[in-house]
Amino acid sequence: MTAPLLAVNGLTKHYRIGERRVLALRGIDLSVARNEVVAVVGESGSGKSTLGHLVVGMESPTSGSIMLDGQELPPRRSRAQRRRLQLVQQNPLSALNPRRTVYQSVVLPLRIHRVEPRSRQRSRVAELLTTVGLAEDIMDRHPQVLSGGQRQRVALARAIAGGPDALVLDEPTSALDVSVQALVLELLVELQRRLALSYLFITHDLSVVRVVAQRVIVLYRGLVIESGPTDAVFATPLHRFTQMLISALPVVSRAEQRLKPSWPWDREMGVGGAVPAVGCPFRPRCPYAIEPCAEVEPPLTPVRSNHAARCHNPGP
Amino acid sequence: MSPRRMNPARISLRRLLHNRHWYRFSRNSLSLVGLLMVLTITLAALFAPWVAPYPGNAGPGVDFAHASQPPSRAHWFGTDISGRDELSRVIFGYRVSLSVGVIVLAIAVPIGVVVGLLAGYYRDWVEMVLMRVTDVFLSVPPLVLALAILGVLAPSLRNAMLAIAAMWWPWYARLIFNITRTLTGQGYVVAAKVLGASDAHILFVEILPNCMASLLTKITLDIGFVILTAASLGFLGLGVQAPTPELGSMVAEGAQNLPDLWWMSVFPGLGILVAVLGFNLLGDGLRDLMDVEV
Amino acid sequence: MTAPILDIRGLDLSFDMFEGRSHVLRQVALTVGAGQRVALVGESGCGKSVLLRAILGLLDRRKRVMTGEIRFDGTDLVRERESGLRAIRGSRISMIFQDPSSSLNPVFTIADQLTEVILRHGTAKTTQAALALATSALRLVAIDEPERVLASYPFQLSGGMNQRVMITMALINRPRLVLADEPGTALDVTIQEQTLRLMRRLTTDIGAAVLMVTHNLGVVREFAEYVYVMYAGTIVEHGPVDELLESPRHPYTAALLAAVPRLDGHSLPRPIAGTVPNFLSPPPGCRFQPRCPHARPACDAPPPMLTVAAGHEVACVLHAEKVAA
Repeated sequence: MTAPLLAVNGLTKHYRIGERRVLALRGIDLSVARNEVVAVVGESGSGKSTLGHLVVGMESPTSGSIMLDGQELPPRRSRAQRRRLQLVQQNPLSALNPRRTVYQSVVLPLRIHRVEPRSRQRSRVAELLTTVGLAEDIMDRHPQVLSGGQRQRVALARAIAGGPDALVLDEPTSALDVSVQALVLELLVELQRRLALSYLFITHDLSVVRVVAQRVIVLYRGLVIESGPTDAVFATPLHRFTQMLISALPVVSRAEQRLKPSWPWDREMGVGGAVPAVGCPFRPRCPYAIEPCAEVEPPLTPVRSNHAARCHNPGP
Repeated sequence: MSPRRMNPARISLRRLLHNRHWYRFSRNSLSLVGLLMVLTITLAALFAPWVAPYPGNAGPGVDFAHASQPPSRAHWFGTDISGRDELSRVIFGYRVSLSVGVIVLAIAVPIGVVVGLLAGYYRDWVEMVLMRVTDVFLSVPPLVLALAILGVLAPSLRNAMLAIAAMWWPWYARLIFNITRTLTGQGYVVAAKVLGASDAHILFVEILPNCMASLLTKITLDIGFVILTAASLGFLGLGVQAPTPELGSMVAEGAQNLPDLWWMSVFPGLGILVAVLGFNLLGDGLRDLMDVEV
Repeated sequence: MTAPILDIRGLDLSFDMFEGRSHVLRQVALTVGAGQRVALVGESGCGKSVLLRAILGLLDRRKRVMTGEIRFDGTDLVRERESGLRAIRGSRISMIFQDPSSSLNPVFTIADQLTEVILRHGTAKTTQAALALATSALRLVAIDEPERVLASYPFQLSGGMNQRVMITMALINRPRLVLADEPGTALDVTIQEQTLRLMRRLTTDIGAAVLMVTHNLGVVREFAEYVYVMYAGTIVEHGPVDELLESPRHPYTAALLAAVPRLDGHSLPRPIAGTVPNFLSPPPGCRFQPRCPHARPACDAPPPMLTVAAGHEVACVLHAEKVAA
């Protein structure tokens, strides 16, 4: 069994906001193999964005480690290390410098890592743009005149320009229309297969996860509460929060509605309350809570070989 | 329309004016007035020897036969006590004022920008040190600071410019510090960091160009105020030394003869007013343009 | 058959811009019955949000060119003056915005904002009465500690809580029509589900009709009874929600449904080829023609609106041929 390409062990991150200490992530373990797409799903406050920032080296963890091909990545990464792990962000408009042309943005990694000699840079950028389905003539234009889908594709061209092994995608399609999202997803899947990339795909949109990822990790308030193969997690969600999440998905057909788990929406539980100091963090919102839930935080328990959940009373 | 008959100069001017930003800028008549004032002063100053009716009067020459004459057809602004044409002296005075404005900012802006960039990007102790130094400079009343510097260095045009630059750079440091702090969180800066770009690249290629709009607006507004400050120092006798014409010192000279020889103070004073107002209106227009675009 | 509460007919809207005239809406016709929940679905830039603002008269009068009718409860809002519109806004027609945390005024408490809306339209006459009304209204949206929420500022509350406050504000004067601009888009999907259920229940309770604008077809199915599909400023299809989603008749509607990721099956969602037209020089006929796999010469003329089933109409020449055949 080969070692994973990307491995995260006991990753923890605290923030100090004034006098309070906010725990954004607590002891996260996850791994992404070569050529694999792992999705990280969660709501706001789950810590998924923080996870993305840490993995890609924007911030340093409070404790825990991030390993790339068995080597631990230090807090200050070298250029060579950065080259292998790149980022695609949510908002393509702010991800591109408005004062730089498309060419100048996409050529940046080529220049930093001296991938191509100067003479070849322009043609290489043209190739990259064609790979992501854009015409060469947008090279000298500025991002403001492009559509959301085009901008995201430029950002993608920039991300793969240095030849990375893995991409962290932080909500890459959330700011896009449905039809444009379909376009970008198609492109992401094709690129992943063609360039043998690994993806850490961070999103709040479960429906996208199903068509893109092999494995899913569900975060709630900084903790991993469920992880497993995508099909298994959707077919038999174990954690009650996962059930709630899938049940809340607005679907467009009766056939899909029948596939969703049921959820007692009419029982109004809390709306955005504080996480309890003891016990399961989801308990205030959980209609299936039992006694242990208030006393002991459940451990991440494997139910089947590779499907685990952090729940005292998992479903269905 | 055959290509030969089209005037190339006219084509390019039309293309220049057929610009979305010009369209919006020109909707505001006050901004256009400001632009006109600034252009007038600048052209007059640049072409002073050809525009001034008595270019020889700009320097030390005297003509006591025509001394202290009120405004007339021969001398639109009258003459001073040495017989020199006031209008010519005002025009040459603009030369001095505009050069002071440009040179002072050419010194102050780079210093302030670099300080602001470093403090805003690195934060922590870098911010603490740099911004506290900035605060020290800001805490001293501006003219007092200039006076103190000129007390140490002898009064001259050069030293006056250094003194004004010393009181001006902190404002740029603060402006760029604030903008940099915001921009550091922007997606493209994050992307550059993750791509492995050097700090120098991020500061000067990613962040600084995005400060340009605010920077240019502030510079335009400031030229007027620098001119006013130089005139204030000149009025106090601490800037330019006679007989070089400078609007502030001309006002001072004339002040002794108020109200009889009123034109000796009033016209240079109006000259200062036009300069400050013009740059102000132009700068306001630029700022409005920016706000809408943001 | 009672008269509709909102009846838009032949609405054309253009804006004069630096580059020229932008034809944003073309011949829009839309009806909302009393107490009915209607959705207007389309992608960004199609003009759906502009339509909401046109209804409330929130567009810059100097730049807009608007012809057609917007009849609300008998009054034509296109010809109505600002004073008349102001009396209607907030009392007879109210609006729920997209992002609750940025649509509430950050420098006023919830109590201030709620009581202001109540007092302005005379639903209560004194501050005391307004506060009492606000408190009971917040309880109706399942807020357990209304006094605490009333004393808070928007930044102190969660997104879901702010959304409920905004719904309360929109419904407190018992409007006849509620306009909702992508409610829940800025929220977590679980909060969005709770919000939609809440809105359904409350609007039914007070008998208000809802016109909801969204880009999410799933939300349409969750919330609405009737749906209008908009593409590039034109209505291309409209009908009862279940029927339209199960058998879409317009090529754009079908393409939009094919682009949605599904819970059944593993196929990738299919993108739509091409791009939206330029509003400065839109196609004279069907605006979807350049991207339509079924395009034909007949599409060069504006397509007629044809009935394909009860209450279900399509603006597409394909169905004219079927009817003729």
